[in-house]
Amino acid sequence: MNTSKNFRSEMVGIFFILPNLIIFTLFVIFPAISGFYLAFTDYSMLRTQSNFIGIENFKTIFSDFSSSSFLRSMLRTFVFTAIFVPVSFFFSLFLSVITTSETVKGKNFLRTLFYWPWILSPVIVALSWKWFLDIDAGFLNIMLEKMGMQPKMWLLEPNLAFFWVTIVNIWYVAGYFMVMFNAALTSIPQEVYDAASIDGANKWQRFWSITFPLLRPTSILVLVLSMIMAIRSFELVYVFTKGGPGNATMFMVQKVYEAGFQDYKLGLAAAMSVVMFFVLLGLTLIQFRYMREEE
Amino acid sequence: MKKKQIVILINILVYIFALLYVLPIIWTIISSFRLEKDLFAYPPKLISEFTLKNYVKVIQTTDMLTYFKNSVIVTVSSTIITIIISLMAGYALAKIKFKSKNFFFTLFLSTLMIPLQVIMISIYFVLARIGWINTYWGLIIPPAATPTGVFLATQYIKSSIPNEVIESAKIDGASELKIFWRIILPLCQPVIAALAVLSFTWRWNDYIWPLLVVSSPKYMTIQLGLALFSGEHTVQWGSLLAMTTLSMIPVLIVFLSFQKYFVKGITMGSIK
Repeated sequence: MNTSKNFRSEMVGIFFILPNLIIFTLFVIFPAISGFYLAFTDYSMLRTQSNFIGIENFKTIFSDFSSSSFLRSMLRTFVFTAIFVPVSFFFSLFLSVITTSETVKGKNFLRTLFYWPWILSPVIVALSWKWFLDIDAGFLNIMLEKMGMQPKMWLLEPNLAFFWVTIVNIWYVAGYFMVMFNAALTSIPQEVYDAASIDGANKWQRFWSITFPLLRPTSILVLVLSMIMAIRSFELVYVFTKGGPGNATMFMVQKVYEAGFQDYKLGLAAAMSVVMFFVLLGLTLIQFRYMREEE
Repeated sequence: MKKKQIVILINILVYIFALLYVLPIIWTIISSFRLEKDLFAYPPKLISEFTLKNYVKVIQTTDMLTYFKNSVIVTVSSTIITIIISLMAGYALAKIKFKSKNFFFTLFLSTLMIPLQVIMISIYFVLARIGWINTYWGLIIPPAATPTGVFLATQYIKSSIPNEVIESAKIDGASELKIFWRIILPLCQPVIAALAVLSFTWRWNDYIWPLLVVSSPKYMTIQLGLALFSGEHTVQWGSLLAMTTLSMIPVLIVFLSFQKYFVKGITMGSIK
């Protein structure tokens, strides 16, 4: 009796999760596992047959360090990450301070304004900025021209292109992190500050001994999230610069995408994905732990 | 007096900064209403005649309307499916006692650890194998299952729907499906709204997934269309800007009407 009842509720439970289960299995879990297998084959879209070739793909990846190689794009992604993470952290904290400050009027309006970019698609963001920076008709160059300065080819010089890719990504995401900081900042009860003031703490002491520690969990989450984002970044840059000029803004994901879908070397691309997976795994585990703690 | 002046000065600076902040998008929108010949006029013109020519042209000469239609079909149906299957899973994981529950909850959440960017190569195989390349099925079904959706639904049902309601319905002889449709769904309005808004923006803005699924213009979504159009050798900026502006509108409407759900989604630590 009891076992049949257990069996029944087991069936009912599984029935309700079935649609998600099937999709997750088919389009996340199975591809993740089969990706590991593909990484050890020479699968190519140009041939019907594929062979198991052991660690050949990984050898290829780790022996090539030319400017168009996966390793280089990985290094480039890390450089981008190393700039993107701290700058977007402090910049979004700055936006958060502006939009929670007593002094500033119309805070809700400003919050909406700073948050706005984040709800747009990466494609739109990329195109808007591309237009803004256009050599002939972009706002920036028109302004330079009006001021009697030489217009610049912002996206055609490697370093400048890298600079703008970084700026645009920070600009895109800062409003999102701002909201996270805002939630943390406004959840600190005023009484805590009042009590500290009565005890004679000045503004800086209050910041260091109250705000800063209480902001710590959010700060860590923002840092982890922004790191994951930077390492995964693809579509914005892909539409913005196509990875160019040359390979100046060619990041990891784009390299995988091109190896797979332009060079048709799917086995090699899968091997690159495996490398990327391990880079991301640790970071995502930390984020995962934070989410569970918030439950 | 002096302090008041500083306050005003700070506000002015903040608002100038805010204006500069969204300038690239504003510039895109404004430019979309300028004559194509004024866009590249020399010497450059800041002010130009207001015109809808770019819009007329983009509708007449490109597949923009098809892309738009595809985006609407994909976004709406995917969102409806997301809501239903997330709430189904949420109901099971929150209220039904079954042995493998924890295992599946962990399994679902752990799919967060596998970003699409890492598995796109092997996903392509699956899509090709089941014949979903260049189909609405491929565009709609796979993205509809989202761990964030399951997570939100489970949390909400666990904390906001009392067990007694379900128990008494059971005593009255209602089946689990009936309980789900008649009791759970109507009580889930807040989380349905949140999921609807989030899913709508994700699907409307999505680029990577359609990029994997679609190669034929017939099934392209607006984001693919935009990217494709901008990649052509001689970019027709006038049309492109009109297209960009049009494609922003649905998401802007949703955003301005349901702002608080975006904020809620973020503060729960979920990611796009």
